[in-house]
Amino acid sequence: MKRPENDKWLDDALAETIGSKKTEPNFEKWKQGHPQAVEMLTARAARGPSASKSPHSIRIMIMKSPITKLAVAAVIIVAVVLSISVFDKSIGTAYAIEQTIEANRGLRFIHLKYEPAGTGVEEIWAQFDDNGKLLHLRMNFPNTMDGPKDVVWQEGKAEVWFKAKKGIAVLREKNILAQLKMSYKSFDPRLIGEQLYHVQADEKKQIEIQQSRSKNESITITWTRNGFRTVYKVDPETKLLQQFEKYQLKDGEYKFLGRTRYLDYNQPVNSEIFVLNPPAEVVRADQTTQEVGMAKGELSEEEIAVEMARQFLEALIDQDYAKAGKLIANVPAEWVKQQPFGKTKYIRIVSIGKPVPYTNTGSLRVPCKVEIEEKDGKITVQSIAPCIREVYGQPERRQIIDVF
Amino acid sequence: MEPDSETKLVEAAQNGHLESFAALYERYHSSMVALAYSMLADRDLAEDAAQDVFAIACRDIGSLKSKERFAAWLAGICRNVSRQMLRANKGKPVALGDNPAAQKRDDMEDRREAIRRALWSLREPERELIIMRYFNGFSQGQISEVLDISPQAVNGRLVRAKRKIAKYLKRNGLTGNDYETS
Repeated sequence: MKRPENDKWLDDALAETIGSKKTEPNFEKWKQGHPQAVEMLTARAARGPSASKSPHSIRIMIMKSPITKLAVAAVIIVAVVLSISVFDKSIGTAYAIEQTIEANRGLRFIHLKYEPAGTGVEEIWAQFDDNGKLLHLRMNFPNTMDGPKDVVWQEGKAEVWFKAKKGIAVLREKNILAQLKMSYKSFDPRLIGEQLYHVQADEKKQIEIQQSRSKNESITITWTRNGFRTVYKVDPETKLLQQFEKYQLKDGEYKFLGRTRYLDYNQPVNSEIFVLNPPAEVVRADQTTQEVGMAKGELSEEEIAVEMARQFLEALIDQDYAKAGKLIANVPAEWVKQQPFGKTKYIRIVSIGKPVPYTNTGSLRVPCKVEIEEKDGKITVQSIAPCIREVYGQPERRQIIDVF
Repeated sequence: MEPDSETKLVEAAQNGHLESFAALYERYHSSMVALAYSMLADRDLAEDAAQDVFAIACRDIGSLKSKERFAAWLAGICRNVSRQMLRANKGKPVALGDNPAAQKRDDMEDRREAIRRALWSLREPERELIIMRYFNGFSQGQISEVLDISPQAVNGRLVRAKRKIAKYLKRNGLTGNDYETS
């Protein structure tokens, strides 16, 4: 391949696609929109030119003495107690988002549910180590394009159970793992606590805290932004997030979008939850240890898709279900025989059409026509469309991910 | 700007000198918009993110110890703010071609879509580089400061990222010839 820096067309194409109208920094406007931040900065001037430096070095010198350390610790405790009581008296509140952040530090296990069930995740279990690092994650998706699927993540590996297809794929593909973790992060109460803390610090953002009036009443935090509103409920005793609801502004009203409820915190972990226990007929394709599908070689995406569709149909015609299974994801012949296309008697290929992108799965769908023999011996023409995509973690190979 | 003078600006801002902070804002606003755009894929959201970045920087500048790494520090804030915005919007960047309005489009738009897809197939650090280079035409020196890598590394990584884009486009049937005939 030519070195791309010589490819002027690529420079032009990128500049045209990404290139944007010049940004116009306007500090005066920014300043007007952020008076509190500006005030915090200018207040530093009042502390003198070395405000950011000297106290630090002085503190280091003083803190070298153990007695001083104890004395300072005692003073800090007194100051914190005093500041809490002053805080209480001045604004009549007991709760601050920092308390939720602090409570979240002790989280080792969470279990949550999202409703209403849509195409996304419905239920999540997550376990953390003593440093708060994610150890195990399970996410159940009841309604995806692949049908219902349960995903378990641990040790840099994901196991995906495609329930309708009766198959489990074991993956180590970085993008998929990153997507899983990213998807989980939207629900992570620890990140939500930090986000609320930062949002609250920016006075431009609209955030309201309604204190609880009794032990049975939750603390309510409402964040309104860009036509969306999120209402968080916090347990007044534990300070942990109980649930949050999202709303979208439509026709002058905030309409309910969905609710996430935290069902369990730090309950004894049933390790079975992070293990997929499928029925015996479910096949398992470990893509971390096996080569899957077919090597792409020098073929274009369209060419390899057509070639794989042809080989798949030929394998079905020859009743070579082991070969057909290998093109799918190294699934066994027995599994192929259980599928609708494994139970059909194929006679010959009539046509193989031009591949077309299949929705947003990143796959190419190859529309084909085949002659089949019906049960009564009648010969008819049937449409069949294998979908072909890159094998996760094996970028040089392609596999059939679905057959329509 | 000379590194030394920038360090002085940062130090002055840390001591509450608003005009110095204004100079830093003017200098880095565009690059923060570009960096946020590389994650958010939306110009308006990226502008919002950049505003938030400077609000946080204004508030926390006292905590910055390595004054000579102001741009990299700012970029770190920018990535955090953008990630938070992504989480708040609970979605992926919009540039992945999931816009239903994009179904009816001409060849030119198809080609742009292919390039957008190629961009979003890159790893985040590579996409940051490419977008900073082409968003507002930042120099290697400017990119190097913000992304905290050497100008030589900027050059090498740009070449590799462009190579990946060209390969992706070729796999999807788009070459220089197609582009020139448009």
